[in-house]
Amino acid sequence: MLDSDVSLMLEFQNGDISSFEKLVQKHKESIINIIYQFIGERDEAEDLAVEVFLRVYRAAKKYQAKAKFTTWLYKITTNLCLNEIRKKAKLQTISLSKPISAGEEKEEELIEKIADAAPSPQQILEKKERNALIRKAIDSLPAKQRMATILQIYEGLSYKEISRILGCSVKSVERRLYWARTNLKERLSSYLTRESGGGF
Amino acid sequence: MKCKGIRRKLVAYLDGELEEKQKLSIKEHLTKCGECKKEADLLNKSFYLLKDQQRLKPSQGFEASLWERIYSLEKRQLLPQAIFGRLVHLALPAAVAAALIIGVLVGSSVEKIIPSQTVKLKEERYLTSIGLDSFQDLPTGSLPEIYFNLASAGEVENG
Repeated sequence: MLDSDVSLMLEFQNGDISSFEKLVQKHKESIINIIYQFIGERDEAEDLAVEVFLRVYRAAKKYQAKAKFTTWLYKITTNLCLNEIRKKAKLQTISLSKPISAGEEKEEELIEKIADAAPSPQQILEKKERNALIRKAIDSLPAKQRMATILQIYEGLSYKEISRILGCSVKSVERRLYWARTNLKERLSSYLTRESGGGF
Repeated sequence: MKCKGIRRKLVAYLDGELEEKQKLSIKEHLTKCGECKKEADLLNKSFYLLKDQQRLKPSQGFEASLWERIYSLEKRQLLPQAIFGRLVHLALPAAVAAALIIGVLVGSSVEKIIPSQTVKLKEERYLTSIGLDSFQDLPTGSLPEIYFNLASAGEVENG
């Protein structure tokens, strides 16, 4: 039986534009978040997410229902993110290891993140500090380790699904995630140990 | 399994990606080894710290941006056809012009290769070969000669 996304894609292939709209509606948040976690910039994440769906739109005629729709969609997303990182590395406009300090975070974004709980200034500062630390830790990972981590943690994908998206073996995903999580643990250890001691 | 081997498998264990046998072996080890248990706890905490990050909501203009891009894509896809249509109209004049240019270029290069004196010489030889170089007078007593003489005399008298 075809998964519902595949059916929608096939309907779109046959000219039903509303099926494409449904797919965008359903997956836009995931795609924006994957890219945001990978790149670290909200506006850029949205621009790239638009590019992802534009590619889906363009590829509709050639689309073949070989695998899960999300595998194909995340593959497009991953390739776009990796290309973007390569482009940036070439241009040397930013450093991949550049920490994105909490001060650089857009006010609007920050407000959105903290709007639900009306926290104290102390809590806002702590949250800013934590977000900056996490951002720095994620940015420090090599591109493929970073993408495997994002797909596993934020999208809850299995190692097998990640291996299909990244075009590598399950063993390779296991190795990448081992190194990524060990590195993240090291980089976040100061925060984690403080937290255990009741600091946060 | 020793601690080193256990630790290599801890992430996969926490992610629920191990086979039952390996899973049980690690579970058992963690009940006995404090260091590995500590490592597993830290890995687990870091996982939830990352997972706890608030997700972004797409901006309101997201879909509008997408449809704008799709619209300009459709427009661009039409453009090559229009250009091709125009090219078809220009094809014949362009071919004629190209043929003329090629003709002039070939002609001028031929002239450079074969000097004009050689061309003249070849021309004379050709005329000789077909007998056009020697003008033969009208045969004596022939009707054309008589007509020619009469016409010439008339011209002199009139003159």
